[in-house]
Parts: sequence; structure tokens; C-alpha cells
Amino acid sequence: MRVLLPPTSSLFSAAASLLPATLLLLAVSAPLFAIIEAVVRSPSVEQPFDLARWLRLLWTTVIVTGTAIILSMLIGTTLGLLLFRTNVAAHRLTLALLLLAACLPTYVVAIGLLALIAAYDLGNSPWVCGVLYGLTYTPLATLVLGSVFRSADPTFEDLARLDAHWPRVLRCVTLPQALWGHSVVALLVFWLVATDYTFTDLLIVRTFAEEVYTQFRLDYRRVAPVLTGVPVFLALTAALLAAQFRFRFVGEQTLETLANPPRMLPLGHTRYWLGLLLATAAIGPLIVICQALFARVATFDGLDESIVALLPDLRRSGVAALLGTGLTMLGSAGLAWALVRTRRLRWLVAFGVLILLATPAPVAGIGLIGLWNRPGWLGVVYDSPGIIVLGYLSRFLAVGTLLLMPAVRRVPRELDWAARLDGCSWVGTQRYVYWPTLCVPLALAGLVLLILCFGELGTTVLVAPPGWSTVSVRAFTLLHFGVYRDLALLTLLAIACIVLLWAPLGALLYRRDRSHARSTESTSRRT
Amino acid sequence: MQRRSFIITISLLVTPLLACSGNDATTGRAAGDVVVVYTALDRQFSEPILAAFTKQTGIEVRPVYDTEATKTIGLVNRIRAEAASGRPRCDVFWNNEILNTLRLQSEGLLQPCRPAQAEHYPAQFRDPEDHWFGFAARARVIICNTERIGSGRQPTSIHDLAHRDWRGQTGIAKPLFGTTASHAACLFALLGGTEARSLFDAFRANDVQVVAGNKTCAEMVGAGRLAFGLTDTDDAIIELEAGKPVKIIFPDSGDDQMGTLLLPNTLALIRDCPHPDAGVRLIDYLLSPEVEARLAAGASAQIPLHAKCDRDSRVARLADLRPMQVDFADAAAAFDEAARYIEAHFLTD
Repeated sequence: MRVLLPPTSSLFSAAASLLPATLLLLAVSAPLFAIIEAVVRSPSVEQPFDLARWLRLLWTTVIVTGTAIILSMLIGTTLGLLLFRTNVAAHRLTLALLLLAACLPTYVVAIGLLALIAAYDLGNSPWVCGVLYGLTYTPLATLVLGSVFRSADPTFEDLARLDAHWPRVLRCVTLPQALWGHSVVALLVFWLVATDYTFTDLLIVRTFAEEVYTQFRLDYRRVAPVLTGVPVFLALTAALLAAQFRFRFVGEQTLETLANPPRMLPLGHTRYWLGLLLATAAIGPLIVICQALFARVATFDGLDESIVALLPDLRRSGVAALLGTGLTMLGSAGLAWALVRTRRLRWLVAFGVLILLATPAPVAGIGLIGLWNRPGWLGVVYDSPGIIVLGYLSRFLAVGTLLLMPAVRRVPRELDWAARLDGCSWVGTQRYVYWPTLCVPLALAGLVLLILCFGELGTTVLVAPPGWSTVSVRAFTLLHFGVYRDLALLTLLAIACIVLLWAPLGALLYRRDRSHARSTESTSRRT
Repeated sequence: MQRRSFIITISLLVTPLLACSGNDATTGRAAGDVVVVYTALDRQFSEPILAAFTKQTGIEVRPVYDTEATKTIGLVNRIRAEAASGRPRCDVFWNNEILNTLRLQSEGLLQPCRPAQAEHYPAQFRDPEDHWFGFAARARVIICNTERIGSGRQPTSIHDLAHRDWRGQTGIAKPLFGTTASHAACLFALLGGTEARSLFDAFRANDVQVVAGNKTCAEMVGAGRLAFGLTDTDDAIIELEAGKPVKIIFPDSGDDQMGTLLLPNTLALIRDCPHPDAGVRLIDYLLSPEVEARLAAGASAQIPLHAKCDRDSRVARLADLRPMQVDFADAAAAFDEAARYIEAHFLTD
């Protein structure tokens, strides 16, 4: 059906199209510049290609990422099934605690761990490194997998239950249905681990991302480190494309599945014991870490002075993270809309999102340095904190876009058409049609991005201008000297900031979960 | 309700912009009110001193700190890269050793200056052409675990790392970075290439453990994971004062031995730097006896070199040491040869 609609051309709509396009260009220019420069100038690299070294890096990267993926998926599947598909007691509390654990940046976990165990006791093993990454990302894997288990089609399960017991139904029906969720988690953990170097740098385990960072920090030349990071870029690109083609139609809920959620597995009296155990397992590590950090702070003498000394970094981190989130949200909303609602621009935007997702953090940082560290106004931006905000944009614009796409997809086109036929202006359409539908998802995405920006390290540590370190950069530079009082205090303050962000995020998710449960209940009653 | 949430969202987007506009790092300051310093001295030691300089002079210091794993070399290469791109951003290089400062000087990346305090330092710790100034030294020492060594023979020389009695029980930091790299280059300059290579071959044959940094080496000895190791005085004293069963030994201090390597911190003004005047003021401040006394009294217990500094380090007095008589210029020239050999033959894992 072809609908004849009044044109929407206005200054605002033009700006709304131009702004996300400009932001995407800004974000994607750094990684593209780094990769193109590396490829073009690769013949001028002094060091010859060392296959043995390359294979060693590949092997270590495979061990670290593989261990992390397997561990997080195994524990995540078990916890996800227990928390989302059984009537285990206090599951909302446990989920809230897991959400808090998922919000903690990797460097906070690393510092907490070092407050408990000396780095040399952990050894320089890639297996240990993989286990640490796996445990760090297990809460995230649990939340994602649990949501997937809850969206399983109940019809198959109900039919299977006629002939089989619950464990068999879960194994033969529910888990195969959730294969796409496992693929998403595997991809997510692969992305997080393969582009990060917090644990690998600490344990001196050479992966591709760690090698890119160390080579650049040591040599300060761009081409060779970026070439080292190209395999991760290619692997991530391939994985993302494969996931897009294989699972593009999977996981979408129908009205029927929304109205009939899958049944919960009854656990009997064990639900209380199991609930207590799970809640303890979720909060236990955080308590132990905080206790170890408090022990390093040791005394309250001079605490106020120490906190005052750390406040500038906290303030800078907050300002940079807020700016980065604001800018990323502006771009993400427009790009999500372009991906969902346009035809011509879709592939161009998808290409940009793919490049951004596949770029390891240090490569993005090196690209920003190569592009902006020049005489003139580019250099002025490079010497200012604006370069950190550009780093956030480069790292998280794609993440914000992916977070907002489902929400944009849910806005009925008919409402847009009706508003425009009634003569509603572009601003009015945004205000009365899109805003009411999108404000909660926007708030959720904003909080997630704020947490990500606050904890960003991989790019910031390379581009932070002199005298402008963020909490993550300060923590990372101090981390290698041991967890002393200042670092322990800084980490506790960072955890407090994360808790402040986690509280509204948890409240929003809880509200959404409750309203979803109520609407499902009323729909099922009607049917 | 919707209008309120709309206004709140717009406010949230605008507030950071306003907050950032009032920030000290983004507001324009006069060129003389800012100085950029790249410092290889550990952040927890250098940061309070730089803050005190700002408090005293009103000049804002914008520091770049190094991490333990890429110590010194990372900052030196950053200065080189910035010079090559025609945009030097660093004014003052505060190196925690000397050889890499000499290498920058030989490449023409330093400019001379004449801070008033310089004349109070011994001639061997400053450049006759005023390109660099040494202060607050550290010694390369052996830290040994008294419980593991017991009452038996104690190590007295760095050659003891190669002694078969302690096979696999000793450690050093990766000798490509920081003071350990400088130590290796000094050995190449003093002993000659052949003997230095033999020494590192002997270390390797005796399973000397290579650890992440001097700090880790000292901690491992303190925890009893190693019998003894080679480290800096600032890392060793922390273990000692934490009550660990350790002892600090100044190696090769006998009459027929080569002496203990003493490495001063060095300060240099970068050529064509954006804030030269403020840079010279910072160098003059850092060379003052008050700063040396503060570094000596602090956790790092550095050894003062200023003639008028009346404070001694808790580790040792300069007069009590028998410093290694090495020409630092020769050592700087041997730096690359030492690094190449160590990477190819010592760090083969």
C-alpha cells in the first residue's frame, strides 16, 4: 500500500537527519583511518611479519576468549534457567544483584581481585586469564540467557511435557530454542574479551588486543600495532555478519508468545534454600571485594583529605561520561531509526555500526590519535577532554544503536502516519508520537551507556590529554604498583558511583518487568 | 508528566556541557600558567610533589604518568613521536633514571636551561651543557628474604644470581624497561659486551625468574616466593617497612668489586616545548632541597644529592655507598646493543 503523506521537510527534521550522520562519521572515521593507514603503509613497517609470534598471539587469544565464553555460558545457562524459569525464592533480589555485578567495569573487578590475591599468585596463564574474564562476564551472560529462556515458545514445551519430565524438556526443547541466545552471549563475551586488555595486561598474557596496546605504548608508532589488531577486527566482523544472517528472524516474539509466557518449573521446598544460595552467590563476591578494599583503606585518619584529592578525577569522569552518553544517545536514536525505518541508508548505517563493533578499543584509540593529533583546530580538539568524548562515541555509538533498535521497531507506523495526516509538525510528531513510546527505552539505554562510558578504559588510556585522567585511567596507572590506600579508596568510590547508576536502572527494569507481567496476565485471562 | 520528563531529558543533555565549560582543563589559561610534565616516577610518589608546586606557584601541572609495564620507554618514544610530528606537547621530562634522558639528548630533543638550583649538585649528576639535571637517586640493590636465606651464605654480588645454590630461586624485572634496562646497559658499558653477555647467559642458565617489574620482584621476595632478587631501593624499602622478613644488600660493595649502581632521577626541558618558562620553574622547584628532603622522607626513600639538603634517606647515605664508576654516556650508547641481546637471547619465552 502506498500512502501519500505530507512532506516532513523542516529545519528540525533536516538537523535530525544530519546530526546522527555526522556523529556516525565522527565515530567511524577513527577506526577506518587507523585500518586504512595500516594497510597502505604496511610495506614501510620495519619489522618483518613474524608468523611464529602471530600464531602464539592467536593461540593465546583463542584460549582466553574460548575459556571466558565457555565458562560464562555454562554458569550463565544454569543461573539463567534457575532464575528465569523456576519459582526459586527471592529471584528478583538475585537478579538485581546480578545486574549490579554486570554493571561493574572490568578494572574494578581486577582491582578487587588484586586486593585479595597478589598478581604473581595468579600466574601468567592464559587459562587463568580466561577464567577471570569468564567470571567477570557471567552476570551479564546470565541476564541475557535468562531473558532468552523466558521468551521460549511455550507450545512446544507443553506438548513435550506430556511425554517427558522437566529436565528432559529443558534439555531437548528449551535449550535448543535458546541457541540464538547462546550465540548472542558468545558473540558479546568474545567482543568484550577480545577487545579488552585489563586482565591480560595485568597477568602479562599476550593477546591481540594486549599486544596492540603494549606495542603502541612502547613504540608510539601506529602502523605495526594496528596491523597486529587486524585479525581481531576480521574475526569480529565475520562473527557479527554470521550472527546477523543466521539469526535475523529468530527471537522475535509473537503476540501469542507474549500472551502465554512459558511455565515456571516448580522446585518445591528447595526453592527457599536455592534462593538463599543464589542470592548469597550473587552478593558474596561483591562483599568480599569491598571488605578487602576497606581493609586496604585501613584507617579513617585523613580519609576526608584523600577523598577530596580523588574528587577531581571523579568529577571529570562524570562530566566526560555524561557528555559521551548525551552525544552517543543523540546519534544512536537517529541511527536506530535509520536502520529500522529507511531503505536506502540502511546498508550504509549497518556498515558503520559493523566497523564500530568490530574495532578493538586500542585500535580506536590509535585511530583517534592519528586523525586528530595535527596542527590547527584538530590539534585543539586533541589537546582537550573532547578527545575522550570522541573515544566514547567511537566505542559505544554502535552499542547504543543496537540497544534502541527494538524500541524503535515497536513504535507503530500508523501512529506516525496519522499524526502527519492530521498536520502535526515534525517536532510535534516527535513530542507526541515517538517520545511517549521511547522515553523508557531511551532512559534504559542512557543508563547503560553512562555505565559503559564511566568504565571505559581501552581507548581513554591512550587518548587522555595531559592532566585530564578519568577514574579508569587513574586506577589503571596505579594498579600495577599494587592496591594501596588511594587506589582502594578510588575503587570504592567508583563502586559507589556505579551503585548510584544501577539503582535507577534496576528500578526501571523492575517497573517494566512488572508491567509486562501484568499485561501478560490480563491478556491470558481475556483469551 | 510527559512534558516534565521531556524537560528533564533536555536538562540532562545540556548540564554536562555547562559543567564542562567551567572546567579548569578546558578554560583558556595564559601559556605561562600551565606546564605539561611526562613523569616516569611512580604516580603515588610524584603526584603530591606536583600538587605542591601548583599550590606554591599557581601554575597548573598537567602530568602524564607511566605504567610499570612500559616504564620510561613508553614516555621516551611518545616524546620522539611528538617531535617527529612537529607537535611537542611535553615541557618537562621527569625521568626516574638517566640513560633514556641521555638518549633524548643525543637525538637533539632536549633544550638547555639554567635553573638556579642546578649549581648545588655534584658535577657528575648534571650535564655540563645544561641539558639535564640529576637529583634524588636510587640504588640498584639485592633484596633477600631472611627466612629463606637463613644463616647460610648471603648474596653480595649480582653475580650471585647465577650461583647454582640459588638456581630458580632468584628474580629480576624484565630488563627491557625502566631501571633494569638501564642496569643492563651499564653492565654492558662497564664490563664490555662479551662479559655482560656471559653474565646474562649465566642468569638464564640458572633459571633466574623474569617478573613484570621491580615492584613485583620485591613483593615476591617479601612473600618468600623468591630467595632474593634485584630491585630498586624504593621498592625494597616498602617491603622492609611493611614488616616483611627481608634485608637490603648493596651489591658489589667490596674493594675489588664494581660497586653499586646509583641512578638519579633526571629532569630535562623538551626542545620547542609549548611552555618553556613554566617548565624551567618546575625544574628549579624539583631541584630544590625541600623536594629532595620530601622524596627522602617519603615512602620511596630516595637518596638526596643536593649539597644543601640536610635530610638523609632511610635506605643509605650517599657518603656510605660505593657507587659503580660507570660513564652514563657510554651506557646510553650501549643501551640498544644490550636490549637487542637480552631480547634475542635472554627473553626467549
